[in-house]
Amino acid sequence: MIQYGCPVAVSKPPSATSSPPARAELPRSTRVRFRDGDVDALAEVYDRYARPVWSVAMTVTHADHLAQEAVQEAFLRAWNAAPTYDPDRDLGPWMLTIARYTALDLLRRELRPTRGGHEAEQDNDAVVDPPDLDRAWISWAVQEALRQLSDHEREIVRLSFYEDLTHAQISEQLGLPVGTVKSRSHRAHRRLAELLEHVRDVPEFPPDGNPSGSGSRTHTGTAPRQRRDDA
Amino acid sequence: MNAEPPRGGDAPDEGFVALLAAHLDKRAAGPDESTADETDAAESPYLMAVAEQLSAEPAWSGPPPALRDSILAAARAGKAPAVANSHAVAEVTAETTPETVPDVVPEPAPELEHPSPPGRAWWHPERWFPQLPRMAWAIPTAVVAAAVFTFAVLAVDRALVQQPDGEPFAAAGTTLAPQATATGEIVAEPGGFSITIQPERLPAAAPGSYYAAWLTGPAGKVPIGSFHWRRTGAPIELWSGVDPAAYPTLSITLQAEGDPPTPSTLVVMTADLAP
Repeated sequence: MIQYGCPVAVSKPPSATSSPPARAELPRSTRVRFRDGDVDALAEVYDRYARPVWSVAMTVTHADHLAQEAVQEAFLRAWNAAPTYDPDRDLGPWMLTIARYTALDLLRRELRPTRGGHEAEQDNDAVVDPPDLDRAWISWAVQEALRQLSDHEREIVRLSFYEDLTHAQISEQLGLPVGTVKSRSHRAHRRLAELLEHVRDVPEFPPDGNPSGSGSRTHTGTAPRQRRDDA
Repeated sequence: MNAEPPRGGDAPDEGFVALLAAHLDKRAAGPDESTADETDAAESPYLMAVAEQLSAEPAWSGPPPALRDSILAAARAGKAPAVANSHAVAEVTAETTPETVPDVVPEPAPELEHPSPPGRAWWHPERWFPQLPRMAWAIPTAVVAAAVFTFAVLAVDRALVQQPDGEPFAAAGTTLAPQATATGEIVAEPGGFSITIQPERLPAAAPGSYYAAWLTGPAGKVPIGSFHWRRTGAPIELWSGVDPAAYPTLSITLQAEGDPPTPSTLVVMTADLAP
């Protein structure tokens, strides 16, 4: 698994010394190349969105192997639908919608008796109520917020929440005075809260799973099922 | 839809920001150092959800590094792999070039010539004991006869054993498992209530997940067992320490290993146990 701070393919989060743009959206030139079928642009899109897409996939499916499948399928769906993507729009909301519906599709497929069969994929008799709609969105928003923290802020948050360490234990682990850990922790939480101020604004996901509508792009239709002939 | 802060130049909601920051401070400080108002979290599920998300493994992990290469290889190949073949695609290495990307649909294997009659080789008793052709069919016949005799004895034995009378019930799948059904029986035993359930067309729980059964009544919800259903066939036996008459709703949820042992929102089957 990709861990923050590990030398992996996913783009490294902004460091404490660097000053990335607040929202770190991909440059428009990259988005144009993505729309035009440049695989290198797909790589940049993956590096930028692999973590939040993974987080959404895990939140929806609760299973590592399903999440892997969902991530792969989400990016390939996005790739296949890229010709209809409007590069003047942010890519994030579009990817969130695709990731969320792809994960839900996989979960629904997994819960069917005839999972994996083409008949099951084409059979639309089962409509699954999206589980944890808010949590999928929150997982995305949290990832985007974590990405914008500095390295030391993110590390303190990780040690505190994920490793469940006390301030004293973090102090010992990082070799910092407890007071410094507390103040950094407080600043990190304040920054996270500011970045997540919009978390209550749950996006409206189209009922048919098409990532069109406000904020993303013009039209996708059935594009995610289309295949790109990338000669 | 907008996944970014939608308020743009609007003033941030300082109240919510302060509440969330305080909630995170409180969670990070731990119960011993907590001084904040305990009602804060209850007032906004978002506060708790954010904290839970920060505590969850997916917030700090990511997809396997090989996934990136397999996605790019599939994109270069100009074909999205079928879901069933996704694991094969995932094995494409980083060094794979567009020219060397293997077709995820394997070529059909060339047909082999059969020097002997078609069919499974092991099901030709005459080949087992070529030196004893007359006994070729005697041995399997004896085996079948023994199996039939054993089955008959067990059937008679079961028929003679007095089975306690049970209360039958039926369960139906929810929209998450619309084709699933189940029949079951509740038997009052000296130590509690035995609830057996025989699901049909209920998919096996994926690795890392399991099913949990619950009885719900006016007094609350009681767990009665868990199962994965990866080897179907035998009925599942659950046990309840509370009277199903007082907890008349049976529900089966899909749970993730590692999550708190509380009912998830993924209810796959329900049954009304009220007489």
